[in-house]
Amino acid sequence: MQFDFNSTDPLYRQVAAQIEDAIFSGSFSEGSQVPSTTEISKEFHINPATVLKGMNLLVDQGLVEKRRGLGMFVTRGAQETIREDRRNQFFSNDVQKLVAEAKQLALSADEVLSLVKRGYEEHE
Amino acid sequence: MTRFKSVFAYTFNRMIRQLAATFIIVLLFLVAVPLFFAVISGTLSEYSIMDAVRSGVYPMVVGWFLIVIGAETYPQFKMMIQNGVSRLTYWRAKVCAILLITFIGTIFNLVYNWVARFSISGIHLAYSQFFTNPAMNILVDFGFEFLILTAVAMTAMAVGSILSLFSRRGQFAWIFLTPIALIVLLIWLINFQERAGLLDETWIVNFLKFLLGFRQQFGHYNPLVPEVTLVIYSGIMAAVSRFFFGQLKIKK
Amino acid sequence: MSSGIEIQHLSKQYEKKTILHDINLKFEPKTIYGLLGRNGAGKSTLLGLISDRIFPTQGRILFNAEMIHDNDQILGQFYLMSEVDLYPNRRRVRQLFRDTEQLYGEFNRKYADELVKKFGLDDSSQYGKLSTGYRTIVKLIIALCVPATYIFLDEPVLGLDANHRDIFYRELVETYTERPRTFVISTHLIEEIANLIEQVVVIKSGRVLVDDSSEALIAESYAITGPKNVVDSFVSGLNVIGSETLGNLKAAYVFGALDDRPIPDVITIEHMDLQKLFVNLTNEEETQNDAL
Repeated sequence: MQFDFNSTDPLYRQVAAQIEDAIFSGSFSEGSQVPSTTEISKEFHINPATVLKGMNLLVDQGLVEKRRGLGMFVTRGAQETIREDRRNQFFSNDVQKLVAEAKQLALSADEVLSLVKRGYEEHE
Repeated sequence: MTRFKSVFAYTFNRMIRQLAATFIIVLLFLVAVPLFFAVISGTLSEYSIMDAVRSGVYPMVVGWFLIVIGAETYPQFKMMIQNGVSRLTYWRAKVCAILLITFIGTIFNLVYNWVARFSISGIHLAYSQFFTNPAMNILVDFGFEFLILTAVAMTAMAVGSILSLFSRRGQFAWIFLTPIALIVLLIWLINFQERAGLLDETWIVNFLKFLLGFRQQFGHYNPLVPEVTLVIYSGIMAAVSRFFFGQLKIKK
Repeated sequence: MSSGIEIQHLSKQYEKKTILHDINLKFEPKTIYGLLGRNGAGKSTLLGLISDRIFPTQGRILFNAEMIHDNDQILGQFYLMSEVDLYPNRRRVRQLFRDTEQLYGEFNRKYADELVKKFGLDDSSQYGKLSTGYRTIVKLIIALCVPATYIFLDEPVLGLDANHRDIFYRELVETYTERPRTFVISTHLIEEIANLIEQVVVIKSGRVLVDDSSEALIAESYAITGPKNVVDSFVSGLNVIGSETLGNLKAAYVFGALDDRPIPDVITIEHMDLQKLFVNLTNEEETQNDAL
């Protein structure tokens, strides 16, 4: 796990986002244990309360679950949940932005689509 | 109360270890120095190790030790405040530890004087006839030794705590200036008394005689009066040190 | 009844110089505080007053509504690790641990031994013969092992190399999770503790400038970047605590809410980190020199 903190977001959100990334990329596979609050706190010199707050955010989102006396585990279907979530965000953030920019450039929907297709081919 | 106990234990342990170390150093010194001279002067045959053991220095060592340990205030205060011990508890623990050390020192001195040196002090002679019971006389002797040492120790504590308020330079100034001032005062007093005849049966002389428990016959002096005087004096010195312990603070 | 330390109208003067002026602060239980301020701001004096090492000129310090002065029970709950060495130089480290155990009534000897190993400390050497860094380490170990519930750390990483600093921060978190207590950390290396501290107290020239949670502070501090004239008009009326310019590009640092003013497209708004906020807050001049 590699944390890369920037200062724009509250720290607990950054902690949650980093763990979420790790789950999504498969670094923390479904059903496996997530490092404990203390471990994360120690490793990155973050206040345990902050880490816990970030962890609770993930619990609320149903990505990790607490198993009493054992610790935090990645839930079944967590990856799918994240993917779903990010797809929704993809539309509301990126696509909306893309369309707004395209309209300013007087690009039609078809033209944008073909540009997207070209992007896909070049990204291979 | 538990805090007091542990601070007392710490303080006493430290003192008793230092006292033992002091005795050992003095003993080694008294063994080694005459031996050294005996070897140099070639009079080794006359050298006796018993001279070192029976030296009259040891009872004095207790007094010196109490002066030094009593006066030492600031270094231990640093340790106390670092460990969250209040000034009051530090003072209480120190007074109690010193009293216990004094008690031990008193017993040592009396036993040592009787056993190793068969000597009897002048104080003892002045008061030895007041009680006819020999057991009471032992008690009186013990009381004198203990109270004199206590008075010395409490004076050292009072002086040490006052000095601890000053910077090192200020302390040196006081240590050097006070004796000079006292000597000047003494000379003036002697001159003054010669002119005014203060010692000729005035109330001052009578009061001094009273404090000593003076009676017509030497040897029949009342020992209880001076002992009570010493108790009061020690109490005053302890109160003075209590006040100045309360003023202790960490210097910049 | 309030719990924790409460400082009321505290002032301290040395000779005629005012070091602290009318300080009002609270330190709550089980919280990690950052006590920040530039050299000579009065941090060490404040910590000295709280631990009853020196006397206030005015005001008072309470702990659970009781005066701290000469109160064993309260002082035994505190431990101040300071730059000043109050331990006897000739005492061996191991003996110091034992002394501390006796005087505090308790000491986590097992943990101390562990830390001695981790830091590579020789606990048989005399305290006064250790280097500055190792003396700091001894004091840190004691600070983490005493039963006190309020630990004040004045420059806790003085003389420590990066490796030892890392061990310290890890152990701080570890021991804090095991036994939550209040830590008040005063340090120049803000970046290293920025994510550790929950509450921030900033002192400037003997006065409390900021006393808030670090989350709230960062949420309320903005770096606004963009063309000079746009930034200038955007921040007019806001609490600008500093700025930097490079050619026509300007970064203005704002502390406080932005209100609902419209944000022009050409400027970007980000939050400052604690270090940047601190530097700008405690800068002596109103605005920084217009140069990067």
